[in-house]
Amino acid sequence: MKKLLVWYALFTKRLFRRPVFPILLLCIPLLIGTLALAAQNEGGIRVAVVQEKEFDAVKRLLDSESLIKYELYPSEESAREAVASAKADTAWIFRAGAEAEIQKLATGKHTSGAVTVIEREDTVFLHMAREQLAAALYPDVSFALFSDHIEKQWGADKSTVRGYYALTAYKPIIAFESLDGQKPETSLLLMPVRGMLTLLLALTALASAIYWYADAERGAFSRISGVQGQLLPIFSHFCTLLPAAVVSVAALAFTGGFRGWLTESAQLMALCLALSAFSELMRKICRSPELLGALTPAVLVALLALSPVFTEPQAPKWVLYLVPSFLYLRNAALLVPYAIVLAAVASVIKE
Amino acid sequence: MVMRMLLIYIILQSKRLLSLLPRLLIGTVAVVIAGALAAGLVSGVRAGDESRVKTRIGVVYDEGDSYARAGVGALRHFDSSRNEAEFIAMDEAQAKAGLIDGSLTAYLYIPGDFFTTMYSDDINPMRFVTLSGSAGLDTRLLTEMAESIVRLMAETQAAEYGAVEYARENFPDSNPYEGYDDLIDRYFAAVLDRDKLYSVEIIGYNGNLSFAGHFFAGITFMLSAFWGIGLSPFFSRRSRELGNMLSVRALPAPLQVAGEATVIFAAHFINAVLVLALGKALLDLAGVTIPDKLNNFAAVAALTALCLSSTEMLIFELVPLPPASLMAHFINTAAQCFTAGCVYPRSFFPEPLRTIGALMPFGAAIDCYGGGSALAVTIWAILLLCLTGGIRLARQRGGVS
Repeated sequence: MKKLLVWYALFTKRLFRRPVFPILLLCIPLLIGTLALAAQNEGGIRVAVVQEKEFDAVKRLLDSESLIKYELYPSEESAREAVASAKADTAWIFRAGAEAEIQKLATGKHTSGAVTVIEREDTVFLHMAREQLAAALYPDVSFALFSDHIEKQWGADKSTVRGYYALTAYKPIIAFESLDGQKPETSLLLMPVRGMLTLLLALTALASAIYWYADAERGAFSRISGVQGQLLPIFSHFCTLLPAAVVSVAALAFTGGFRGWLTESAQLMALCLALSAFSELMRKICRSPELLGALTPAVLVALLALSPVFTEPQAPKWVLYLVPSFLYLRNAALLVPYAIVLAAVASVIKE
Repeated sequence: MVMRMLLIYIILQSKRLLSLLPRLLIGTVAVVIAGALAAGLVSGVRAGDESRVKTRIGVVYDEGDSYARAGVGALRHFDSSRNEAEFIAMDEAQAKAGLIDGSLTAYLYIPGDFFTTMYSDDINPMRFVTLSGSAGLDTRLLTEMAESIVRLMAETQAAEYGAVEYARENFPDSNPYEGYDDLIDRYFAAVLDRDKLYSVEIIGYNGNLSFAGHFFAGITFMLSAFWGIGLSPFFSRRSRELGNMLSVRALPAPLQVAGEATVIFAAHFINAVLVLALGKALLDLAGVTIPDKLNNFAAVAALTALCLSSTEMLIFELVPLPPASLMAHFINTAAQCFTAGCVYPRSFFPEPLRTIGALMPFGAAIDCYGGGSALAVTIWAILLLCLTGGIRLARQRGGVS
């Protein structure tokens, strides 16, 4: 154990010799903390809402909790200007005659629409956002249809039927949770943080592998052979990763979905182990710092594409299971066996 | 004399860079292929693309509940969701296993009493279950859309219960279900016609990038930015002794910086042209067209190269050696690309972040893709290079270690 600590001190000492490394490490929680602060002023799809008179549907929209952010604009012109200048992604203009149009839809007549939607272009995001518009208008459609039916079927006066229509409360009907029962991060700004930290650790591991070529060239550890000699570079990468992992845990504490200090630390240690073995395998395959350096951006972009950082990766499962960042984000329990397999493969490849 | 020295210095640095070039070009091709993978994930950003790979979401519900069944059916068949996601019915154990093994992005659990508690103060809510920190914007929006569709079903149910209740109370001798089928038909017609509640007017993206154009600009810029990490051996192997010697022999530090920046600019320019051309070729191959006219590739590549080379000069001057240099590069690239809107459009961000993103060098460069002014990028580049020159000067005079 003492020997291990001596090796750890040896590998870590050189990193901390210059103040820039600890400063950089401190930048990580600082950056995430700043993002967390910015996230309080939530982002999302921006909708400029104009109502020519007051509508319940607008109130429903403004009261809802969503990634879609609604902002009231005083006039159609100002909303159009906001969309044209990309201050808003779309504008929804609730016309004064909206109720009549809703009544028309409910009674099966031709309608020109209760709301005018203004967009720069139609995208999937805006298409999905419009479902929320439909959902906010639908209670009015539904009641109009209901009262029309009662009137036609049973001859009742429309004004007397309200009591029979059970109003649904317009409050959250979906609870977000993660598999471990925690509340997951739902902020647009903080959602990719865990994934980006994983990529930063991957880059640190690859940088450590590039650094190791110089050590090997100098023959710094040439007297250590056998299994120890094979494991030494992996341990060196692990030592380089450890300080970055410690600040990553601290940074993650600023985000939602923090799994607790112990779990986060254990999972990050497993990730460090997996990334150490991964970068050692890359080092053995590339054989030169120039090639590994040139391939590092490609590896990073591939890790980004094959991990659920910004969007869901779309690749065969067996490919995803080769990606350490995917395993960390999806099934951290597999990281240690993954590291063992990769370390074994790396050890059979000659320098 | 100074110009001659500068020219010689540029040639020397070019030779150093050329020794890295074959590998860097391999890296570029690999980066673009990796980037195409990433682009494949977002290439379906325009509505109506049914061919794209869909997000898989499990749905756990009581199949005997007609409203839940109708809601899930609607999710599967509505235009807004069917192109984006595949909703698969399963039990909760299968859903949990799917989430863990990566075959599902998330699952939606609809409790058996959900539709009956909808009208009480004690709603038993649906649960949208993901793995911590792994769901993206698309998944979150799909969830909200699922919520909207469930609201439609719940309202429909409220009306149908109400109609039967009215008939029972006021016409006890009649069949309360008289006209019920007609009511259900009308409701389903209303749900299907819900897009008639609004009319959509497209005003075009004058002066702004289209969504597809934005993603093309964002991804190609991000690829070029990350590619710069591969230049680290060029910076880490600079000879400080040579620099010191040159500084006393007619080539002061700011000119050395200018010489190195010229070489790095050229490397980034070649790379940016390659990335843009390969990216465009891959899009053409995939049959994806970018609707708006991007600035011409040479101008865009030059501005990208100017922005990235000046930024890298400063980063590698401040932090010359790996692993710290690579970490600094990554932190800067990731933070600036994110706030510049390379991943999500900048309009999605809160106002302060939007402003910061637009003012930063990467934000200014991204804006040039759609025809924005090159002035901001140029000013930033001059500022960053002056700063780099100043630091080099101070270092060579022994002021900074």
